[in-house]
Amino acid sequence: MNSELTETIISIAGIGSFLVMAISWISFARISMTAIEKRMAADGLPRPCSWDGVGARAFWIANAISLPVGSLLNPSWDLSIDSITVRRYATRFDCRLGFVFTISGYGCAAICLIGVALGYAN
Amino acid sequence: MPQLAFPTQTVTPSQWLSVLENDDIDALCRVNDTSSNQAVMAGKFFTLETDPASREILIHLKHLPMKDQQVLNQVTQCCGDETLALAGFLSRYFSEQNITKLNTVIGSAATAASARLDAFETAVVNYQKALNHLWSLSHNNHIGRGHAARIHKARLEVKKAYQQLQHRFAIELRRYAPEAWRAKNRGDAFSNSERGITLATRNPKSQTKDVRLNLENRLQASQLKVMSRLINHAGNMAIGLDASLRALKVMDIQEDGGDWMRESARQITGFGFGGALGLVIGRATFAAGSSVVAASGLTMAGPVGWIVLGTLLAGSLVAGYYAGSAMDRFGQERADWIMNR
Repeated sequence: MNSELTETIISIAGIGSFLVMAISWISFARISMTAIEKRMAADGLPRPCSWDGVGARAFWIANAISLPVGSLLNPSWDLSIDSITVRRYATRFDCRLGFVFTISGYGCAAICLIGVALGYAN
Repeated sequence: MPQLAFPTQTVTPSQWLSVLENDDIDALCRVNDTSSNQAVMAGKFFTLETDPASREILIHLKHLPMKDQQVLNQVTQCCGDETLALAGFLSRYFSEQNITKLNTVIGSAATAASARLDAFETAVVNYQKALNHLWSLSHNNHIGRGHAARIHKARLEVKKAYQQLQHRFAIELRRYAPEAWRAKNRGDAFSNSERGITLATRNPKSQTKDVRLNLENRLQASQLKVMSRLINHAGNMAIGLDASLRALKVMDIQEDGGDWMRESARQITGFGFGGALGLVIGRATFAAGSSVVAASGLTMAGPVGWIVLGTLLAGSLVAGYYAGSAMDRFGQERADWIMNR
């Protein structure tokens, strides 16, 4: 395939998925994550992620509620987040928004890795 | 971490601990004031560590009255490691002091006192008050249909208060079990109070394997807290450092008279791509690593589990770093690509 065309496709796909990820990240963190943590605090449970340096817990929570438990990317034994408890406190809207966030995040990462492998990052 | 074991039948240490070396068996027997051929009665404590802290704990427990030792043995038979959660819960809510406090609130009609109670204590107090109300209605010698209706209503109140108490009991009890156990689904004995009651009345003569009472070292727990706080701060500092270095680069180019706006666009794009995707790939590495660890059966508590966790963390940080750097360059290239069109 024409290398300029490939670069165009990778660039547009990468930037596009990045924008989707960014928007869904902000909306998930502001809408769903705060609601879930408020519900858990009302029931007396501690925060779902006890370690969180950079605010990445939005992604962890989205993974936990949208991916099936026990899959490769959402294990049932995970010391950074208690996915089984968090799932109980997520509404359907939260799950759908989290799914969009998760898929766009991993999709953007995959596209960018392909771009790096093809030599578009020097 | 001190460890106690309770043999389920009378056995000698040399038979029971045959997997250990003879020297280790002898050292353990010395700490426990016994010898390797002397039988240890079923239900007595036997410490499995030789450090002085374990010895002190053993001496302290040996001075309990015989009846208390038997009760402790039976509770650990049913509840295993969850015994510590139960002990913490009971000492918080049903110590002498706390019972006095609850009784004061039950006796008084003032609502200001009840503001000092938490959710579980409120449920206990409400239940007691409902029972007291029902008792006074039943014993005041009134008769008639109105009175019977009032008693019926009071009974319903008691049932409702008890349901609330059960709900709160399960929630509060779970707080005393460490998070790692909850994630591994080991809180089953306390997922609801009916289950707890069933286990407590189970036949204590059942031949299950020896139950060990793990005494969590409080110092370790507080060290874990300090470590998590450090990690939290280190994460924020890393982002600040990245942003500052990029700003310095743009300012250098501006001083040299170059196209600093282009460089600024490049750096900002790189920052976004690198930061976000580094997190995503770091998470994927950690999650996939955890899946592999769980599938291979390395999920243990204590120091072995911590080594596994450290390896997973280090691996995901490294993966995140390299991925983040590659994504950074990729993002900068994309910014160039847009500006060149």
